[in-house]
Amino acid sequence: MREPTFLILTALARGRHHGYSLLTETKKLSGGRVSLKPGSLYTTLDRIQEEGLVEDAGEEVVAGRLRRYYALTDNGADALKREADRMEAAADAARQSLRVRTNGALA
Amino acid sequence: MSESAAMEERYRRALRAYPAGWRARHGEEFLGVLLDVAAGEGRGKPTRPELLQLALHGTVARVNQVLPSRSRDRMAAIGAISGTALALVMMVLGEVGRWFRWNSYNLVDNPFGAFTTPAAIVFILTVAAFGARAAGRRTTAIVLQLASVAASIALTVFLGVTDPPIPVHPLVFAVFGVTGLLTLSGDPIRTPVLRKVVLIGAPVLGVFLTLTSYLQGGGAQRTFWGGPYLINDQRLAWWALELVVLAALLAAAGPKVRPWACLVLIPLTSLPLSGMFLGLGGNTAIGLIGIQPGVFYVTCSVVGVVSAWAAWKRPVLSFAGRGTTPA
Repeated sequence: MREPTFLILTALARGRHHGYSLLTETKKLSGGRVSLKPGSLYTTLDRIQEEGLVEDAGEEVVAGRLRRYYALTDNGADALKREADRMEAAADAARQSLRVRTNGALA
Repeated sequence: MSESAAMEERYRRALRAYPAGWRARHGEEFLGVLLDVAAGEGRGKPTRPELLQLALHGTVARVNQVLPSRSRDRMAAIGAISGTALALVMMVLGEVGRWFRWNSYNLVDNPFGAFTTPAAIVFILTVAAFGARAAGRRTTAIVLQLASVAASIALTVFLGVTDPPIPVHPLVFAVFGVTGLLTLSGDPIRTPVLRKVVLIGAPVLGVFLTLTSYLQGGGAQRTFWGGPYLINDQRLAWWALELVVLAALLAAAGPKVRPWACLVLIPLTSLPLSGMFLGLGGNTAIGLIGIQPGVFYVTCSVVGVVSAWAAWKRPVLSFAGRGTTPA
């Protein structure tokens, strides 16, 4: 799973978001490292909607501008959990290797 | 016209890069996001990189209408497997073969440094792109794949104009151009299944084809580039191109068309496959084992019918889990 997709699903796991709030939320979640552009966001949203990970969750008009909200589906939550588990396992393996390296240096 | 109205008008014009259906569904909300982003950055007009990005993503949305991303990813996987496998075969048999095969090119034939022909550049770039993809370096892989396609085009022109001592058939570069573009059309390792198929399939296929082609060529390198024998660069490239085109068409077929695609395209693969393996047999002078073309015709036809049925019926296979007691 690519990082922008992971960040979008993570943002949606906290609750429904519209397009602009997804841009700001993903930037916050990545600590400013990932700054999605609107074009990339909607290309990704199209794809993950097609895959059934995300669905429409209502719309409203604010200051004359249409806002459509998106929400995570159960499939999306499962996919996010699988990816988080995979990343956790990889991070654990890396920490273990570093511990071995440190212990080897101390020995 | 006020500045905000002018900016909105410019964004609306830029959004025409997206298909009409997409604009009807997302146009107004997307426009709202663009205006919100511009307001957040304190801008009064769109930037050039922004307009370029919209043009690019609009084009992607148009392509997705015709070819959904799942189909493109499958086609990209076919491109990655076939391009990498073929590059491995041609590197071993054609390029570095002169270091270990009998009847090889030597220095008076003016080989290309440690290799034999400039086509080695394309093969190395293709294999390096595969390696970058396997290592998770997506951007590096894309750059290397693009370089491979560019090198294929450039070398076709260059070798066509000059008269190299060891010729490389233009069809070789055509195959790598096609497989390179197919690989770039999607993400060949987007899903875990595609990832396993590509990362295991490409080297396995490369090794298998290298071994069978090595047997057919009798171990001689001089028969590979432009040789009149059964397995040479031109024939291998032609068979590979046929298989890649058939496989890509099958991958691109939507659910409704897929049964018919299986019924027609899979039996057609017997033609290049039978040609590819024909040389494994019938040559009693060098005593190799024969695989008659009829074997491929029958096998591919049966596989085609079974696949068509599976694509039509889409049976769900389920197996008893460890916790359940079989009936």
